[in-house]
Amino acid sequence: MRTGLVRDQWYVAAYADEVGDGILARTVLGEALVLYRTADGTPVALADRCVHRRFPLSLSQRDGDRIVCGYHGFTYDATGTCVAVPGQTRIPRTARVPAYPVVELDSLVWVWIGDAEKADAAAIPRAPWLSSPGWVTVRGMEPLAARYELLVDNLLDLSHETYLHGGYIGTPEVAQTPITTEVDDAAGVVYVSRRMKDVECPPFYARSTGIDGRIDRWQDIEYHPPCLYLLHARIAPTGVEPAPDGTDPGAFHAEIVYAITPETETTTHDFWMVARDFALDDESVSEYLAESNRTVVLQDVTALDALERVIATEPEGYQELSINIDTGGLAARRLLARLRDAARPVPAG
Amino acid sequence: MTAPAAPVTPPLGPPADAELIRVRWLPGSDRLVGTCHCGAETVAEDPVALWEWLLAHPNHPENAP
Repeated sequence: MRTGLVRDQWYVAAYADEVGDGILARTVLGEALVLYRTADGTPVALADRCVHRRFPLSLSQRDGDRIVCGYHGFTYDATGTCVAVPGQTRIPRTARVPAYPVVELDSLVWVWIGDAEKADAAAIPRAPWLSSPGWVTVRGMEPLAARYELLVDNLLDLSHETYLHGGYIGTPEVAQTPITTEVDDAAGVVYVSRRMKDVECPPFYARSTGIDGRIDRWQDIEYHPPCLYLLHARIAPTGVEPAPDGTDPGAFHAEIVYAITPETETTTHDFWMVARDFALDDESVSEYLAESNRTVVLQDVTALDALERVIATEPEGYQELSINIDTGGLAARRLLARLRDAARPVPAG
Repeated sequence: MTAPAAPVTPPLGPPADAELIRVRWLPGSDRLVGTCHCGAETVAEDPVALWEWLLAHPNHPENAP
């Protein structure tokens, strides 16, 4: 449960459209950042703290690709180097703010938190449907007053949909259907699969797809610790199977994506996205899915915020109970602990 | 003019060549079947004990968890 923050990893700091001409302030793993986009479109992430007297750069102004501190005018370029100070020509050699490795991919802005020399953009997990033709995405972000580990637990065990999200995505069959959990240790990925046959269609999918009757519902989770969670959802009238060639024209597909980004030890940025390959031009479906999914996410937020308050008051060494539904969550915790340990500094001597 | 890219198709499940540790929940029962990537297999009712058994690779305990 208490894995703690995992450094030396890529995290989603923002949606691409949040980063533009202004200055966006966001804290990731306890590090206060400012994000903005240079004139050529490159996203930039700098520490949100002037080297002079700590004034937040997020409360400052831009001058082209530079930020001019709103307190005394220290001016930083996109690499974090101070290029002007007030009233004198000599700029102290140490006048720079940390710049973070940034990659924009699949409509997400990823930042590397940790040792910048270890940052490898090829290691960023992908969700190309978020910005691909043939898909439409609705999205949002909710602040969570709870540690990220609680959101990982929540998303790896979807049996909670039956109890927490009834009337939206939860039906009795979700909690009743056995799961298969797989771990690719080398790649560091957890897979959890739940295949439901001839089951009730929850309102979330009945209304968005127009299916009137019972369905086959697949939930195939892919968790890339620490940050990216993918749920491949397949909904089809019961008995409709994918074609032998792998195409699946009789089914509806929804890609539910979460970016789980710790803000601090006990607060989290809960980025959520729903991409679909149906009703692409139907704005009313977009509005319905956005509103319904936000409602579902807020139900989780309320529950997880309550859990965080409980954890804050519980005695040291409290023992949880785990059952079959927790198999995927337990696998995720182990991979997170492994990443955390790998990022720990090697003791000197 | 560039032709639009073909729509992407999300994968379902791990790559075919992945070495996997797998836990299947046997339908109609409370039992879990754990299979290591080396082929060792056991049955358990406690997922915590089952993961410990699986992660002991290559020294899987002789007794089921």
